[in-house]
Amino acid sequence: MNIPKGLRYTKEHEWLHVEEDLATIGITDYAQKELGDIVYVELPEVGDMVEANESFGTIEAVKTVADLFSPATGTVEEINEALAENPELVNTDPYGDGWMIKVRFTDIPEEELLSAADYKQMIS
Amino acid sequence: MNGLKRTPLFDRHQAAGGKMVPFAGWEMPVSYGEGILEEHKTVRTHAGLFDVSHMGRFRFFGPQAGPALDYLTTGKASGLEEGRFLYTLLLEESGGVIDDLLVGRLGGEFLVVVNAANLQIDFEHMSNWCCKLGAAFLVDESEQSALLALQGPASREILKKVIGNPEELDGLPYYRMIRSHYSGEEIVLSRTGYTGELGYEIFIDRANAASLWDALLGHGAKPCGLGARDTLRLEMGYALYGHELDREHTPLEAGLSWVVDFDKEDFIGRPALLQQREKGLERVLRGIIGSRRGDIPRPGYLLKREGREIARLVSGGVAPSLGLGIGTAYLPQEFAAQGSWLDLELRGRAVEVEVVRPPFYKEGTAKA
Repeated sequence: MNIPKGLRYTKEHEWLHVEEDLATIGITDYAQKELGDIVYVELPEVGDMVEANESFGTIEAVKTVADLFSPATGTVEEINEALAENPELVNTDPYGDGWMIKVRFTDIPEEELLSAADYKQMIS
Repeated sequence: MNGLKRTPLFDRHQAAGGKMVPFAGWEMPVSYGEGILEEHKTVRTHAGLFDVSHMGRFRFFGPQAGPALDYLTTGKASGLEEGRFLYTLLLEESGGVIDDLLVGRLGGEFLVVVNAANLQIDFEHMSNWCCKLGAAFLVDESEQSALLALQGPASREILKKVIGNPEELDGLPYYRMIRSHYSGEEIVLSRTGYTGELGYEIFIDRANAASLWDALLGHGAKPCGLGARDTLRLEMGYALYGHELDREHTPLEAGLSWVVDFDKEDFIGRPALLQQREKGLERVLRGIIGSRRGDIPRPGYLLKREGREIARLVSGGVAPSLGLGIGTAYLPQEFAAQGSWLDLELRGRAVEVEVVRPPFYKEGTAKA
């Protein structure tokens, strides 16, 4: 199971990468494996507001559908357009080309987030 | 996983990276390493191998076995020629469906294949009637054998490489079976399946199942799990018990009147079905198809017209061959016209779906 050390994680299996006031968000390798083949990702639009711990979209796999939860509050700066045509990128490269949204954030409730080590323990 | 049964191929599933899930009391693979979509495609274009050993297999025999089955099921088992299979139903008096099953005739006896989840119910129902009708006997032989399904356009060529009488496979029509041999042991091959593609189901002794599994994979078949089994059957519009079929719906409503033989003088459920046929059907099973790739229907989702609730989906999911979402629902007649449009409530938004008659996928090779 791939759990990169430089990222932080949510209990709902999203990852978060922060650079200055921009947070990149996606789902973890564990999550994509559990979901199986991903066939569609419903994302917000650029300029939409997202709230920490609230749903910002949905992810449809062959077998199931799940909500995507934001670890940050802020404005959507960019979405991963490539997922519209190639949702399987979330399966093949969850921490890279399978990223979902970038949020210009005003708040990240730190106490909700897990380190790589804590996340690893949670899923084991 | 606690208390779950394992088929003779459990080790093979684990070794092949099978993602194991509980299913009808069994620990079964939902998919393997390459995922459901790839497995689906493999069956449509080449050959996939499924372990369906969880399904129930009964031996039904005795002087009155034929008449007993005629009374218990909607089909005419007594008229089955040696080596033929029949898709049929067990009904309640009300016409509701207890299970759907295959009945085949082999060596003068009947072979009955039932859903894993209904095995106990079917066995009790059938044996009660055996007692009442007399001179018919039922034995559950599910645990003695394994059942493999090799499905896909390449399945015939692959199977010919491993069996003792390959020449006999060429002339084997749909829904017929033959005895064959695999590494010296007797097996039964039937040209049946649940995918819509050319394919065979193989009844084999437990002890030889893993060896046959390996041999079929060795000749190019790919292991496939329950996930692909479901997407393949839904694309074909094949009914799945617990979804399209249950005790609340009759075979006439389910579009299965072709498996009901009204020429038989009596069978369980006949009076109720005749009455329903007389009155006309209030609702019928239909397919719905989405118009946008991301609109994926799921079981339980609500269909509406102008805000009015019409029905809930009984099945729903991705049709990988079409790249669209599909589903099935029992629709009141006034909303069941082909080509009409309904609103599907999809996680808080309404999307348009078209009413169609399955199959959704029309290129299957099953009967080719």
